[in-house]
Formats: sequence, C-alpha cells, structure tokens
Amino acid sequence: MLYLSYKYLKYFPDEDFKKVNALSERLAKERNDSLKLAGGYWDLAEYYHKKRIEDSAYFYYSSAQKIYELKEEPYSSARMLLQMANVESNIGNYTGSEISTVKAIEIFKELGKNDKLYSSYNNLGIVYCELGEYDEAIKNHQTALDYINENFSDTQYASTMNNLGVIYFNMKDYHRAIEKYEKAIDYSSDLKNQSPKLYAMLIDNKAISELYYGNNNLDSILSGMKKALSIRVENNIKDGITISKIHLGEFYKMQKDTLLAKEFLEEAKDLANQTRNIRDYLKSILILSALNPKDEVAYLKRYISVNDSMTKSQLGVREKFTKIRLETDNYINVAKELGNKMVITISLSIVLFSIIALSYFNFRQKSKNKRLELIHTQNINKQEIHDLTISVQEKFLEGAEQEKFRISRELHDGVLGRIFGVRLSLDSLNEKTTEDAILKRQKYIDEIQLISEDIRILSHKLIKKKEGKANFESVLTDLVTMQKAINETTKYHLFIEDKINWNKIDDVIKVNLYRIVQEALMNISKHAAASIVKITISKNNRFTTLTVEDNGVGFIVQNALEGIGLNNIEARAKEMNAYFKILSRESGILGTIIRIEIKNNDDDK
Amino acid sequence: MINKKIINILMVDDHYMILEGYKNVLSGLELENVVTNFHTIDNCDDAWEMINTSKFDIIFLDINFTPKNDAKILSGEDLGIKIKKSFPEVKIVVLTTLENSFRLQNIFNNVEPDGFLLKGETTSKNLIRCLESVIENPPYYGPKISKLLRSEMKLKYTLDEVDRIILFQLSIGTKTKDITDHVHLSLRAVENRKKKLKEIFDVFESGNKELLERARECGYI
Repeated sequence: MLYLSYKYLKYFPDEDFKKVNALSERLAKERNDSLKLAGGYWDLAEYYHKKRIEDSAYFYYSSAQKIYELKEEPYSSARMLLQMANVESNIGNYTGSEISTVKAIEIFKELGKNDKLYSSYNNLGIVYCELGEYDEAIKNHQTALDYINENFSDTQYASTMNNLGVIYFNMKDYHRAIEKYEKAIDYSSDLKNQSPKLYAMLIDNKAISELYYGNNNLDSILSGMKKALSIRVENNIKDGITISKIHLGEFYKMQKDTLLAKEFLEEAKDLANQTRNIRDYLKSILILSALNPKDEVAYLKRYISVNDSMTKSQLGVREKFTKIRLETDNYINVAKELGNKMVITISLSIVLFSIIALSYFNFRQKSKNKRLELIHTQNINKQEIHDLTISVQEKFLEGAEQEKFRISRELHDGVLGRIFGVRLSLDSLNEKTTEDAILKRQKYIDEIQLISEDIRILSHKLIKKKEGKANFESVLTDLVTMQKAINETTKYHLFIEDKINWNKIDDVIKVNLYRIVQEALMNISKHAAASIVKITISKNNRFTTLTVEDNGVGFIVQNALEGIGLNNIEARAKEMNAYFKILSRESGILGTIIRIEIKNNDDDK
Repeated sequence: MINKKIINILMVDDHYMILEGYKNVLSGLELENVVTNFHTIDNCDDAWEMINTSKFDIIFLDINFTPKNDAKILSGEDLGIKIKKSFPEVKIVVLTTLENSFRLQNIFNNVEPDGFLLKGETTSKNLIRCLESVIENPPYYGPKISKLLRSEMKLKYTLDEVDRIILFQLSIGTKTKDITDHVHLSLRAVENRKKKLKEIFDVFESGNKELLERARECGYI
C-alpha cells in the first residue's frame, strides 16, 4: 500500500494521492505498524513540499521523524531532519533550519552517510548565506565539497560552486562570483543533460553577475540570459523562468529600454504571483517601481504591504514550526524527560517537603512562641491579681493588727476605765445604807452588766476578724474604699453577687475588671461631679456583667471616646472579648452607665 | 461663818463612768474650810480651753484618750506639760491605767505631777487621801508609783512632745517624709529622732514596725 502511495506521489501528485495515502495511513495504524505510518507521513510531507504547502510538509516530516527516532531508525530520522531543514530554509526560518541541519549532520556522521552530509553542509551554507554570515557559509560549502558523492559529483560540485557564486554575488564580489559560476559550467560538459535546471541557473547567474560587474560584452550577457530562459521554459522550471525574466528586466533597465524591461518584469511579477513566489514577486515590484516614476508610490505601497504580510506569514509559519518542533521534541524526549521528570519530581518533592517541613516547624515555633507569650501574659495577669490580693491581704493583716490594738486599747482604757469608775463609785457607796445609796448601787451593778456585754462583743470581734481573707471581692472593696477616702462627698455602693465563684474566673478577666472599675472611678471623680456611684457585678446563665453607674453630669459619648480613659476601658473589654457599652447624655439618661458583659465559660455556668 | 476656801477641780477623762466615780468618791471629802467645785470634761482640747478661760486649782488628768484625728492635744501628758508651762501654780493629779515604768517615768519627768496614781490600785480611800494631800501637803504618789520612783531608775532620755507626735503619726500610718507636716522639723531631723527613739527602745531592726511595737508596749500609742 505504501508502495502504491509512493507511486502515486511520483506519477500523480494530486488529490488521488492523498486518498491513497490516507488509506495507507489508516491501514498502518490499524496494524499498528508505526514504520509504515512514518513512511506515509514522509510521502505526505513530500507531497505538500512539492505543492509548497510548507507548514503541512513540515508537520508530516516531523511526525515521521519522531516515529523514526522512537523506532531507532536514525538514518531515516536524520533524513527527515534534513528535509525539515530544507522546508525551514524555504520559509525563511534560517535559524530553525540551522538547528535541524546540525542535528542531522550529527546522525549522518555517526552513520558515515557522506552523501547526506554533502546535502547537509550544502544546506548549512545556504542558510548562513541567507543569514548574511558569508564566511561561515563559504566554509560550510567547502566542507560540503569533501563529501561529494562520486555518483552525483558533477551536479553536486556545480551546485556548490553555484552556491558559492551566489555568496560572492551577495558580497558584491562579482568577479569571484563569475569565477565560481564558470568553474561549475566548465567542470562537466554533461551538466546540461544531467541537470538542466542547475545549468540554466549557472548561466543565468553568471550573466547577471557580469552585468553587475560591468562587463561591456552585452551581447554575450543577453545571450546567456536568453539561453537560460529557453532551457527553463523547456523544462517548465517556473521559478527559474521568473528569475530569468527579472534578470532580463534588469538588463533592459540598465540599457534604458524601459518598455522591454517593464514587459519582462510584469511577466515575472505575474508568474511569481501565480507560483506564490513572494521573494521574486517583491523583487519584480521593486524594480518596476524604479522604472515607473509615476506609479512609484503605488508600487512601493504594494511592495510594503506584500512584504509586511509576508513577514507576518513567515512569522506565523515560524511559530507554527516552533510549535510542531516542540511537540516533536516533547515526544522524542518523553522517555528521557520521564527520567528527568522523576529526578525533577523527586528534587521538587524534596524541596517542597523541606519547605513544608520548614514552614511547619516555623509555624510550630511561632505558635509555641505565641503560646509562651500567652502563658507569659497569663502569668503577668496572675502576678498582677496576686499582687493586688497580697496588697489587700497586707492591708487586712495591718487592719487586723490595728484591730487587735484597738480591742486591746478598748479593753485597757475603756473596760478597765469603766470598771475603775464603777468600783470607785461602789467603793464610796459601800458603807452607806441610805435609800439613795441603795438605788445608786443598783445603777452601778447594771453598769457592770453593760460592761460585761461590751466585753462579750469585743471578744466576738476578735474571733470574727480572724476570718478576714483577701480575695477578688475584697480587692475591689478596697479599691472602692480608697476612692471613698479621696472623694468624701460621693457615696459609693459596691454590689457583688455572692454566687460568683471568683476562683473559677480567669485572672485576665479579673485584672481587666479591676482596671476598668479603677479607670471608671477615676473618670467619675475627675469629671462627673457625681454624688452617687454604683458598681455592680452580677451574673446570669450567660454573662457576667459589670456596670458602673453615676448620677453625675454625663458627657457626649461620641466626643469622649477619643479620651484615653474610655479607650483603655474599651481596649480592656476587647481583650476579654466582652461587650462594651457606654450610655450617657445622648441616651437621655442622667449621669453615665458603663456596661461590660463577659460571656461565661462553659465550665463555670 | 468662817471663810471657806473654794477649790475648783477639773477632771479630764474620756469615760463618763470614771468621772462619775471621781465625783462620787470626792464628794465625800471632809476638809475644814474647804469647799470643792467639780468640773468634768472628756477631751484634752476642750479641757485646755476651759483651763484658759476659768481658774482651776487642781486638775485630774487621764493620760490615754481615744485617738481622734482632729485632736490637737493627743494625750494627758501633753496637756499636763502645757498646763505646767502656762499655769505653774495649778496642781496636777495624773490618774492612769498605764503601768509601763518607762512611760510612767517619762510622764513623771515631763509633767511633774502633784499627785500620781495608777487606776488599778486606786480605791476610794486613797483617792480621797490623794486629794487631801495635794491640797494640803503635796505630793501624793500611789504605792506602785512610789515604789517605781524609789527604784532609782534613771532615764537616759525623756521622750518629748515631738517624739510622741512622731510615734503617733507613724502608728497611724503616716510616712516619715510626711511627718514633717506635723512637726516643725526637717526630714533629716525627723530621721534623727527616729534613730534616737530606736536607741531608747532598744530596737535594732530597720523600718517602723519594731519601733511601733515597743512604743505600744510602753503605752505611747
């Protein structure tokens, strides 16, 4: 089947071939014969290449190439690479072409396929020439000469000479260019038969070089050109005919025969357009514009737009090629990359793991630090409440001490004194038996009863005072008592609900409550001019609530929230996650109410 | 009628029962040519005002009074000193429940009373005898005071009013630096006084606690 499609390609390069090829491709796929499939691709590529549908050609060449490479058919693979390079060179992707060629050369060298090496170096030379790297181009063409196949030595040598001629022509070294062309023509008398295309090209190139070189033998130049044209026409080499006509146009232009020049160039232009030979199309337009000063602008505009669209399409095609190449490369490198990927994946995994581990440890450390900080804060709070308690405890002890002395003094001065008084009186009445004296005696006996009652009370006080123990309530009480001492005109009332178990309440909350009360009392004594202050701490199922109320002058809350005191209260409320509300003038009440609601912990309900 | 001598007596004590006891006992006094008028008052400041407005011949003084923050004259001792200074002719009888010999010595030195009795040992009989003696042939000391004075104990140092103010202020919790508000002394002088007081009371500890304890034992506060 493949053979059939190949035959079709050779003799019927048209749509029928495509049908046959599609059939063979399907069969190949069905049989899972990838080599045959690659062969099909190759044929398709050749088909498109001939049709100048270069992107499709490139696609099939590269598809075939990757199959060959996978199937370890390096020679075929390299041949595909070289074809790809040719296609790339044709569409102006010289760099891509260079890469493909170099790859192909490596394989060919390994396999010792010298004939293919010639083609490869030849292509490289052409590519460098197009890239303007003439020295490199010449070098490659000379290398190509080393690999000339004996069977095709004539054409290959001539071809290389031609290419070298073109290089020198581009370098405006017309003398050397002519020299190379002559060498090629003289090398083999059989060239005309072997490759009329190349022969025509050589004659034509030589003629145009002579023209530019300034050879006065115009007849010989013209005859060379015409000879080339006739050969090309004879062999239906359309690109060649176009070039010949351009060269003739140039010739007549130089001879100031504008009419003839125009005629040739218009023909060249139309032909180039027909064959989608943009390069020559542009060239003809450019010369035509010089020939028609009137229409110069129009020609130039045409030139520019075509050139632009060409550049664009070239760019597009190049991108397409790059894509195809990438896909191909990916395909080739699947196995290799899989290996690489493993390495990359493993290293990435290690890196990723390290990062995760690091961030985890970092996080752990951070949260540990946070926890330590929290513990530290808790300790500070604990310390603060402890200090408060201790200071109150000390006050209690001091108070107890003072109470002790007070009782002792009461006993000593009071009780003793009164007994002394009673004793003295009774003493004086002792010897008297008058009615009056008897009444008086009864009075002092009653007094003794009163004294004994006082002693009983005192002893009771001594026992009771021993129970005095500092806790959060007494700390608050102490705070209020202190405030009372400072602000004697204000009455303070402190109500703390008995059922609150302060031992279960967090120290942070206790400290904050204490400070809030302190702050509030300070604000009241500074600004409120209140006569009554009521501090209440109550508790229901959900909240422990602190309210500080006063009947003072109040204030406008919005204006005062900037104040440090209220800010502190608010901040402390926030710290406890408590609800904070302050009511004053705008709520239409007398004085101020500060309300803090702390949500109870679940375990101390 | 024989012209009887009128003796005005002021009794200063903060317990009405004691004052009543004094009156009950002393109204039984039977002295020829003597008529006694008894006046009573329960605090030193008012007593001092009375002394300055009326003439008294004999003043019965208690030493310890229930402390009052606004009191100017803190104790009978201070009042005694003032009387001694302003009215040296007035006879003073000190009647106290105090028993600390150091304190008693101090009172003795400062007030130089004409009569000195401890309430605990005082009966109606020796109270009358004391009054008789003070009127006719002072001084009169109760048995324990006599014994104390005979013991030949000599005081190295007598606490004066400033010392007592310092001790009192310290006892009610006044800070040393604020004591300068209550005595006409510099802070340095107050510190020196405190140092001396500690020496007197044999206190070696720094701070006020030990000093106040000792002062309390001695009945100064």
